[in-house]
Amino acid sequence: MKSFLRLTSLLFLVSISLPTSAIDFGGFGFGGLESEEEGNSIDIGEIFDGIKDISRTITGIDEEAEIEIGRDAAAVLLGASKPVNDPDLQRYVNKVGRWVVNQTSRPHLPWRFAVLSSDHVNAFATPGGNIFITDGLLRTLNGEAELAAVLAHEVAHVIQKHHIKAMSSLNTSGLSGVLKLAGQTSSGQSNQLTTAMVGQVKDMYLRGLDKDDEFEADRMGVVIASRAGYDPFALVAVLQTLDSINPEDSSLALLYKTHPPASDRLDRLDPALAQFEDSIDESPLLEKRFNTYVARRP
Amino acid sequence: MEKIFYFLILICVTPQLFATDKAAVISRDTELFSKPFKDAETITELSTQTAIIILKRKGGWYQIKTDTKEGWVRLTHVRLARKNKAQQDPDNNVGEILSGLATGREKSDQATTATAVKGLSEEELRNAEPDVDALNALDNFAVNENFDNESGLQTHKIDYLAGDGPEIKKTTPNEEDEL
Repeated sequence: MKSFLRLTSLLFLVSISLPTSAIDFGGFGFGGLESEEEGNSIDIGEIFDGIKDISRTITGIDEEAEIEIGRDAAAVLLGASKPVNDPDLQRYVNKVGRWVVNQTSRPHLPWRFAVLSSDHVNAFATPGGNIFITDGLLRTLNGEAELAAVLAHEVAHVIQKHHIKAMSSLNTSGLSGVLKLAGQTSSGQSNQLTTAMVGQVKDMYLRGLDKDDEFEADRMGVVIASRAGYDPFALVAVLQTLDSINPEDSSLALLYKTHPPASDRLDRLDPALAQFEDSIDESPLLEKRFNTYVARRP
Repeated sequence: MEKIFYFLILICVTPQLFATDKAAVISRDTELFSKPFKDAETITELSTQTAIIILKRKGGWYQIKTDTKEGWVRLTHVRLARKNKAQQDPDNNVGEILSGLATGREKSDQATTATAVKGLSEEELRNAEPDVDALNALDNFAVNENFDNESGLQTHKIDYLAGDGPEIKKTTPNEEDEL
């Protein structure tokens, strides 16, 4: 029995150390589309092949290039909103975020977390591990598990390289076009982003990611946060809170332009939660430090 | 000893955190259970649109009360009453219907002024100039990979879930002792 458990542990370790492509496109991403492909018109088949090509290329993107593109994207987002000037808060969010990313297959990335001084309700990730949450969203959260849930959703986008995929589909030359833009940035004057690269980044964040990638990040985020010991249902609580805010509220405008409605996300997430149903996870709730750094701020 | 310590923290912390008293509605026909477990005794059936008050959350369950009963329902079978984020006093129809029941209001810190929403609007993103200095300053708060978590959170081994369909993988049971 013991050796069986060791074996399953070993298998588990092997499975999490596999390239993300195994999770991304092997199981449920494009594999499903592929099987439905038969019997469809040739055009649709070609489109699917095109998507698969992009996917395959992205999976093989050099990590250095991924990080460089992500830094460019992060610089653009920071041009729109600055980090909140509260070192204790920023450090705290980095600790929660670091604990979360250590439960993924990519803990070695240069992860940076920051609270942005925006009243909008939103969160962003950029390739290579920059994660931003707005103060507006942070203030709607109840407890550290909900913070971890939001961060884990963004972390999932990074693990799966969703933004690289989105940028590649916006660029007429696909990934090679994006890499070319990124290369121009780094070979030009130091720290000067080219106008074209800035435009590409803005286009992506204004348009948002593929809706299915959002649903996938919800599902993966729940698992990542649960691995870290947090309540699996915290993301549901966050989405329910968002769902309860009037969608006409201007602070939600960009979020809803770029994400499916919270009610759709709840519906899609529901089946994935069944396995956690009776696991009332008695994890420590860390109320004190959440209150100290987040809730009891002026 | 350590475990006892965390257990004590847990006892102190658990009851207050999710005390909410929020107005909500049942979003699909569901059962009201006596305890937060699916095998617990069913108190009654609740139909869609039943107005409720949420008392607290425990994992995947809300403890709620209707105008006559109290018990537990599945978290995902509930929808919070809609409110205007901008208003101090939430625009809350269900709350009005249940005015006799409502024992609390939404947290006041959720109220912000809609007129002063700043930062990261579509327009501000469009006009953003890249800020590399702000990016480099993020290094000051970074926590490295060898960070020893101070929270007492226990990690678990759980597989990613396969899609939305019926084909959902099981979690790997907690085997910490075996690693």
